[in-house]
Amino acid sequence: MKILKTWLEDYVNINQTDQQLDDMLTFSGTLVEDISRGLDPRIIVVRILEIKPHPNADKLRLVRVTDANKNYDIVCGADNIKEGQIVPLATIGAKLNDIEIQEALIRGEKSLGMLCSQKELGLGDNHEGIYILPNEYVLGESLCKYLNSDSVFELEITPNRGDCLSHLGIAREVAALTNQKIKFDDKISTDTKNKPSNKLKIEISDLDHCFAYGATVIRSVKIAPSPDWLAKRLIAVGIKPINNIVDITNYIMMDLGQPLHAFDKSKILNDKIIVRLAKDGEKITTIDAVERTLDDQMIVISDEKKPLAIAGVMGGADSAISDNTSEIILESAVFERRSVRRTAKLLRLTTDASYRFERGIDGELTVTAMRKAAKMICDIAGGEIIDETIDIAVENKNDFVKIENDKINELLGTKLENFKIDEYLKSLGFYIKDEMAQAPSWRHDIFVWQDLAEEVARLVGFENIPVSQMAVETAPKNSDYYYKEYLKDVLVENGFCEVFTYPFLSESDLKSLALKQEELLEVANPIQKENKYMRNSLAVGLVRAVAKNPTFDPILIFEFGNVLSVSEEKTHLAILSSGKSAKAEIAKCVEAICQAIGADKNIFKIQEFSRDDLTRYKVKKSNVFVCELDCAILIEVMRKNKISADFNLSDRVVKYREVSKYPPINRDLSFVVDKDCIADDVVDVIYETSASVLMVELFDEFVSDKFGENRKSVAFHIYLQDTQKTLSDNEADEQISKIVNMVSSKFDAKLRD
Amino acid sequence: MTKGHLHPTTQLIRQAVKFFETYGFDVYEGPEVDTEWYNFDALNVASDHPSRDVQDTFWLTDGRLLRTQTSNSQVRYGENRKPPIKVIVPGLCYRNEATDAGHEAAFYQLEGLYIDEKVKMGQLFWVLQELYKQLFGPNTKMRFRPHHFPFTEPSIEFEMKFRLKWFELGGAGMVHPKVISNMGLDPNKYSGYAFGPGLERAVMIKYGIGEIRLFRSGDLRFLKQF
Repeated sequence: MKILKTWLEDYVNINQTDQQLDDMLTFSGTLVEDISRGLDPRIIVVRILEIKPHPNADKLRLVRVTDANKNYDIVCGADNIKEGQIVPLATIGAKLNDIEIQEALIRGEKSLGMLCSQKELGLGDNHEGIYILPNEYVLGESLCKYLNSDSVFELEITPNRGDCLSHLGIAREVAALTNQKIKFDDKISTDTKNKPSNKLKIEISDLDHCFAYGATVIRSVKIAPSPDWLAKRLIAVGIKPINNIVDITNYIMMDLGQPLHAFDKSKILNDKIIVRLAKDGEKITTIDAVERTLDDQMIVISDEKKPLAIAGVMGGADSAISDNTSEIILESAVFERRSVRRTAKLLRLTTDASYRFERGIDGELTVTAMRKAAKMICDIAGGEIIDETIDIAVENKNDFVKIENDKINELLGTKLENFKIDEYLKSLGFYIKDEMAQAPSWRHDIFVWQDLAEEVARLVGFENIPVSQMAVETAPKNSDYYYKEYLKDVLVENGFCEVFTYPFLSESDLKSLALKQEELLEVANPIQKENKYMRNSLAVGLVRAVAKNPTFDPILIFEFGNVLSVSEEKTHLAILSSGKSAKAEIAKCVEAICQAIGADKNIFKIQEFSRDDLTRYKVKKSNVFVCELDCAILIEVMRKNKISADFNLSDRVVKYREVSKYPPINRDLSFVVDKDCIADDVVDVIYETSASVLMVELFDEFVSDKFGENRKSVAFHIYLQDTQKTLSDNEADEQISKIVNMVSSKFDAKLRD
Repeated sequence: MTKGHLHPTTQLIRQAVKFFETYGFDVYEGPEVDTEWYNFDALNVASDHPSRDVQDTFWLTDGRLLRTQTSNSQVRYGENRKPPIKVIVPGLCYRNEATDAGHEAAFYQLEGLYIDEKVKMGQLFWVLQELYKQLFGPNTKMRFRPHHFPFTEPSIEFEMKFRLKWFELGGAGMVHPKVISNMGLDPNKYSGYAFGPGLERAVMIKYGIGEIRLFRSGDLRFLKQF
């Protein structure tokens, strides 16, 4: 939610800088996600004098603009501009989203600034073209004179704090954090002169879902655009101005958190408003011009004939304020949270109003909000209040919660005196009596003493909560986890690499892989079609990994993962090998596992993929073997044989290089080096020699007399890549010869033929 | 023989497990397919509360769901045990959302749960600080700010400063008394803390990885670097 700092100042004094206010709010629970500092005054209003094609670029144009004193030549890519239009120009030095506008040479043409779109100015999402301004804006003036000149705070409001979805709400937080009282008069009275002959009647037939309803009748309003100050405030917090009446209802919502609605009274039959459950299948066209079908649990506002609005969600098009409206009914109500949430969800229509009702609004403010809006309407739209009806008003029904001072101090590790805790709570509007606290009417999230502890903690400040060490203790270490990790170490020791594959299957996977559907666990609501079914085997993922790694040969991989079916969830281990000695490699690995844990080889079934299968998985290699089994079987064997399952941490220093989206080139190099030479040192040197080296793998190392006395052979797979393009063979050769030279000189190495 | 490689997430989990071993924590993994009760209701996340909107759930056609958080294991693990309860739950979780460089439908979380008499918030702060020092080095700085989760009260989010930048890591808090009751324990007697940061994000910060989808890609150019 967006909050305008100067708007907050209606209610509270702010002596803090934006950064201080950011920290204060963030570390008391209202996360500031972003601060936009308003428009730079160096963004000015200009008129387009002339548009010419750019001599060197089809899509660009040369635009001459004027600020009435001076002309500027600008290169511009947008195609919505015409000569004579008023547009925003970010002049040299202006900052736009932290980027400073500089004089630029664009395809050989000088550009003295930038014409801006709505989005670039942070005033909306429209990025389609340059923001065309109203003709009234004076040339040469800073745009911030007209639009958004103040700091706007973008806040993340957690679902429990509906009360913070307004400027008043945030002002209350600031007041509590800075020891102030908010400046807010909640006793606004209304004079209703000239009583109407027909008083408005309100009938609430569903008291379970409508807790309060107030309506004010205002006549002789004149529909017009809002005054500048009002439109500016709405724009700053992301609401588009429409007309004075609608804008005032939106303004009060952002101001006090109470959603309001205005009806055109002439469209309402017999001066009667009914709050009732909708009829199943009842239809209403909402102000967004969509026809909605309701069910019998949704609440509507209606007259004697037809629904006028979906309560708490959106008004109807028929009774909406139009340019011809002269008499309005202003509604301010409290609708039940769950009901509004249900309706908004079913209709897929979340509005600013429904969002607030769902989170709970302040029932004690309903009348005040209505009166403040009514007064504004009279002041701004020239109306006259002729009737005010308030049917049931809400009072604070929040529970009294015992203030467990000792428990609060124990939980927080603090030594706060009772009166201090009371003070913190009072500053947040709590009513304290006999060691009990009642949350104010705007809070709906205080039920237990722990909730009070949180309020205290966030005002005390987390930095003042003492850190407290945990005691050292022996861990049980008998979880299945340890057995799996032990097995992983055996696999890695034998050259196998751990992969995680995607646990979902799509409909097309089922077809292309000829998998059976019956036993598969199915997702009811996938938003991506890839996520339709859950895997019931790991082998599918592993063989696909082979297809994904065409540069690698051999491929030795394994995965531990859960496989799911309608009847059970099991953890599997799958091992896969491919390459010319794949069969021997996987057999050797299985043997190593058997030896490590004392298992019988027969529990492992090694299978070779057929050519047909491999084609289906898009694997070009042949010789692919897989072995998959239920991990529980292995763990049972390990427990029976009392294997002490544990693992050690790797001390390898990882230097990560980003993986290119372009394919790598693999080159193998063998060197003859001194017997004492450490292969890992050679790996490091190769890696450091060229940024094109993605990684280096030692794959062979042996001593033989044929290399000379005390000499050995070391061989490496070297993977080269370019992050910007496909690396060419020539470029790879160049890097390889650089590497050969470097290794030769550093290690007294000779390249083997 | 050339050795293979462990997945970087596995390596991070191992470091965390070793850290928690010192303080007597058990390791539990819990089911990935679970009921609405363990994933939501038992954790005080009511079905009609807006906090459910935050988590896009994969519902299964049989009415169960793919866990959205390892917190599903809190009540599962706690309900059969007597305090002190100390457990960490490294596990795969699921969110039904569009994937991009920073979001993946299947990802790891590391849940931690400690239930005992007189557990303090300061112990939670301490354990998180020490954990990330273990994972990222002794100069790692942490900070905490209030937040909201239905299953903890007070709730916090925690951030880490690494190479001069602050990174948001995850949520935590003091276990809500309703959750303690749902374990069959007396919330007047016992209190506790819980946390549940995502793990891929930590790995990404540590190595400067810009793309979460690499984790489940099976791409050996990625995996063999660790």
